[in-house]
Amino acid sequence: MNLGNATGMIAPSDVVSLGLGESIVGHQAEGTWVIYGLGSCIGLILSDHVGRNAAMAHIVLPQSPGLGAVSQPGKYVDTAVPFLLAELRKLGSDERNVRAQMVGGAKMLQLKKMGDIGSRNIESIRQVLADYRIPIIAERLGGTSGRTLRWDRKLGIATMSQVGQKDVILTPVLYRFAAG
Amino acid sequence: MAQRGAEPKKVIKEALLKAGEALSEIIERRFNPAEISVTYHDPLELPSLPVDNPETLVAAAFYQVEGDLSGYLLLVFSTDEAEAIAQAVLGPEAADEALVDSALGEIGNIVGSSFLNYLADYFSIYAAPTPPQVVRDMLGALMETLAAVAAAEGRTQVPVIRTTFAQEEGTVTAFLLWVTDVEDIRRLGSK
Repeated sequence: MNLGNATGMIAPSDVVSLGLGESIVGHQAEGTWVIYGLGSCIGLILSDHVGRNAAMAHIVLPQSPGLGAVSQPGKYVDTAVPFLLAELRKLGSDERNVRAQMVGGAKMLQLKKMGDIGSRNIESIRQVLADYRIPIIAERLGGTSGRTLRWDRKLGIATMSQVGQKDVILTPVLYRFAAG
Repeated sequence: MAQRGAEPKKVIKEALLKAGEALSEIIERRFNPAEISVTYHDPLELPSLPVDNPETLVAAAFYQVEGDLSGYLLLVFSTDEAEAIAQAVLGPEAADEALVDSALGEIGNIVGSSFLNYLADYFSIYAAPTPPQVVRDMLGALMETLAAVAAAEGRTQVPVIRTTFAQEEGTVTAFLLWVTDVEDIRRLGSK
């Protein structure tokens, strides 16, 4: 897990890249969080535009093994969402202000053995967000192409990149961060 | 061919040399396998293995391995190199992307089959690639999907056999990855 930066100590040019299963949380600050090359995985951002806090996870699979605490809660849909919510609460966020943005769940390869992990991730994340009553304000899910997800920590804006296409700003104006 | 009873890594390296020869014959340019490695990784490390930048755009021929062995084979080219190689095979008129992809799939099939056939012959087993899928996308996204599969299967260690095919003048042009199972390596070791 890559957790930290709640104190805003990251240098202005800092870019934090999240590997598989990693997560991060923090208050508004300079810098960018990024998940490069999302395939079947889900890049999830939970943001609170009122408290100007955000959390991000690089989710790999829909469900944890269910054998006690997992070492990387960001790895599974069913552990990532409650974990990120709890971390946002620690920063002072009110759950009623938390919104979700997500990207990924692609079917990059036709796999005989495991089927379509991307679709299972999508189904699971929608269900878990509904269970926690977290509204989804932007999503780019499914398809067959890889994607990169970036979070501008200062502006509170998520951006998605795909090969051969212009970058897309995901976050609606209403939910972006005010100047800090 | 390697001497009977040779350790699996040595035989795998010889199989990769065979794959390099097959690639050289198809394209009529000399490729030498370099940096052959057999390493073990946590599945979550897979996306960062082949290249530093996971957003690197590639054209890859992808196969699943069937029979007595398992796993996934990827023959990966930069997109520019893919076009150049397709032209070398199809002629200068090969501008159509679908035709280029078809050629890449066939090249990958020959290279992958050559690799697997060597292992199969040596160890007296059956192993073959599925029909090819050609994908043009971020290499990190392809590897991430294989990582998710390995994680879903509950694997904690994934052997990755990798070689870089370089032209004689040293230009790196392609690499072949076999993302396989610990059991496969054990099985080869027991033969």
